[in-house]
Amino acid sequence: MINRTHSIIGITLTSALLLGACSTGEADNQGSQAPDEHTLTFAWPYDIGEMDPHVYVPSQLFAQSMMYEPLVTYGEGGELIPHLAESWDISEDGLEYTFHLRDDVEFTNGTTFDADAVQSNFENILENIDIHSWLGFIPKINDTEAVDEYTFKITLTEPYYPTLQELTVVRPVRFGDTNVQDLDPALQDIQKSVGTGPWILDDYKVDEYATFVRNDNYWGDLPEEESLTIKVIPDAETRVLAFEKGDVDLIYGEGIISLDSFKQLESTGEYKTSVSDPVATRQLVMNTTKEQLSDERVRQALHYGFNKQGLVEGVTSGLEEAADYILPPNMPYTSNIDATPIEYDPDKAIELLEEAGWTLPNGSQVREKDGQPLEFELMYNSSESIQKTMAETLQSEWTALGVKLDIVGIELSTQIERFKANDFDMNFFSNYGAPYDPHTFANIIATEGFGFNEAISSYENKDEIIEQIDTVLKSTDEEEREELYREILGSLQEQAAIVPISYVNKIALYQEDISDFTFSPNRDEHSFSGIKRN
Amino acid sequence: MSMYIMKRILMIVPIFLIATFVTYGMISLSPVDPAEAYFAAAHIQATDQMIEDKRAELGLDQHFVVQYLESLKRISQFDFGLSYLTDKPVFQEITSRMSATIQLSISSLLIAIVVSVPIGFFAGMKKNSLIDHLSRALSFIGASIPSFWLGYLLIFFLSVKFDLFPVEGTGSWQHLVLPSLTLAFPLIAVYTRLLRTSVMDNLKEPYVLFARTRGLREKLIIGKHLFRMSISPMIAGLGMNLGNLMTGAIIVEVVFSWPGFGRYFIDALFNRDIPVIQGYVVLASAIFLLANLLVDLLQMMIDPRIARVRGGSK
Repeated sequence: MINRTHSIIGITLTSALLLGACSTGEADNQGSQAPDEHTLTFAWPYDIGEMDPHVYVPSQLFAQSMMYEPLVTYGEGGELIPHLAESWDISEDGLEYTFHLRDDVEFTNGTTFDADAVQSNFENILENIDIHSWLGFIPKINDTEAVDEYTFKITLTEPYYPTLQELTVVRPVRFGDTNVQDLDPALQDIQKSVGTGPWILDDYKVDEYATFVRNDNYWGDLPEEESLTIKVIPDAETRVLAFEKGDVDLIYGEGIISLDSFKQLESTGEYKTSVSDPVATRQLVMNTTKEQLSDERVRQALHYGFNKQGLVEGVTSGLEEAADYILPPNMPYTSNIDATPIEYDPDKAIELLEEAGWTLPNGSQVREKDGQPLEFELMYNSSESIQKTMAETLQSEWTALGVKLDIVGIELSTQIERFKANDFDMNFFSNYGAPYDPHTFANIIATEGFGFNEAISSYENKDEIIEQIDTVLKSTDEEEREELYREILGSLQEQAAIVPISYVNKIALYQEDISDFTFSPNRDEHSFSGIKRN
Repeated sequence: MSMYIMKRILMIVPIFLIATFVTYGMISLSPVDPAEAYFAAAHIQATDQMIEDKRAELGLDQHFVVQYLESLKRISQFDFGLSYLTDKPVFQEITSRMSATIQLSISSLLIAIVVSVPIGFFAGMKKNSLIDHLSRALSFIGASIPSFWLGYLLIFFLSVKFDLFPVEGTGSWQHLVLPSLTLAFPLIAVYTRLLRTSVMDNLKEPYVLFARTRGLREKLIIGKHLFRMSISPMIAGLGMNLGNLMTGAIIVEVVFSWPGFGRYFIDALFNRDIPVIQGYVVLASAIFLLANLLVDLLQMMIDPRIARVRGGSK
């Protein structure tokens, strides 16, 4: 018996050792990513996923943007810059968009980029219109046509001004060599993804790393560095430790590491840091279908009743800026909004609550009206520490006003679901950012089933706002659009169901020898072209 | 004995069915709709119609029991379905990540055994000695430190400060050291304590006294009789931990960016990728059950009394 036991243990141990040895050997062959002088190493929490410009999951927008290019680029402040299209004409009635394409662009497999390539990409998109119809102009496409070798035309069923803005998004309206992929399924292999962009995917190991090399035949400005490796490091603390050790050159993104880590690394003075312009606004949405919140005075009181500046300083260590407006003012049509920023004024808040009939009974901590307590529930994403801390701060600030706030941490998907089902009192929300806003934000306010339309139900001019949104999206007149957005966004904010809290930024942290890092104005993309190692 | 083995093997089927039914039920009770989660992961603002279509496509409009029976049928043919998220076969996705997890589990187990067996054994032999104090300190610390924190500590000191090992990733045996140590540490704590107690108990057993009165050499008594009898509870623990290791490597895999299937499972949980979660539950149940069976058999070989007591027959 003992012999048998020994042999079983022996066999187990030997096979374990062998297995260990084999696996290690295999990993060795595939090569670890030793940083060399011309490779930038960048840490990212997720695998880059599928590299097809028409596929959403699992894939990473910034990685797709390194390989696939748009007809039009989104520049600072929403300026529309020619990219694969050198120029474009829009018909008077706003229905026809004609693009004049560059004639010096090749896919990375040598195929010419021309109107046929654009056409076949659009055919591919329209064949799967269900999954792409979230992008406003796609369901409005009536026809696409390759007019000649380098002219491509889109005809819409109705005018829709954000068409050009939507052509700047990362997917699905970017271009791969679809013909090659259709002919040979083997070429759909991720390693052979074919785009026109400045980078080519060279080496990839799922969940571990992806290495891109410079596309030396690129038509535009060549990246400074020869290659860029994306290391997949799912844990934020590990990303920081890998950076501190020097295994990672660059950490960049939104909420990619904790603000504490960022501040701490910044304070050492050993690394370079930068913070982007606002990419979105963190908002607090109050559901006006809830009786207590249907009164504008109550909503205003709550807005006056918390110290926004203090909240932002305390929770984000001053990294985010207190927000005056529901959309950041660096987006198109958002710099001149018809709304007054609210300053912290607890006395005014109490005055407004009293005026609305919410009084504090003797010995009670919570205001009441007709026997009803002034009590709300705020839901927050439990895995986002900023939302959690902000919720706690609001809870304590409003307690001083005699308002009871219950805070409940839930998963992101439940949060989205409850928001859409109008099953909430208060919720955190953040707008979509460039290049989607303000038109996407306006659009979800006008559409039922996304939360906002229902949440602003007690607005007296709700129907008017929705009509204005419909008009603005169809308007072909720049001045009219300017005016309409001023009114729409102003009215939404003035009635206080959407409270701006702070402007969200991206952060970047990089080693001393890295220079010329810049943020892209498009929230989703980054070409890493200018960045270099000295 | 063969009766006992047969019984143990047959028991696996109902336990497996109960375990999967309960976990499938729990998954289906989750308030999060996988179709919504899919669009959230894709950053798409889906309309109600899109969500409804997706639900129909995923078969989520059917009754839970129908879904359960369907998936049992498929699983019996090793078909775990397609991931909602990637549209790739779950079985292939899990198995391709399995070797990394197995590698990590086995190396941790080896470290745990190599460290805990001598410490636990000698601590049990010599109560209140230096090694006994060491073993108790180890047990206490090992049981108290959360894995992720230990992982960060090891990375900070052994990788960032002293540059002995890489921070994360795979590629060489050095990459394996820190995650294995992290995973092994709580095991060392458990095994050391188990073995120490067991040795102490066995020392009081009549067979030791009997062996001594028979005039057997002390080395033989300790090496052959005492060691063999004392190791049995540890093997039971080992079996439990084999399952734990395979499934519980999750946190360590995340901390060390280890490309195993624990990490894959975490992503699936966040994205409500139900076929992956189910596939994982099925495999984890199977691993637990088989590990327990293996341990029972091993224990029985070491100590045949077990089969007599539990099996009720020879």
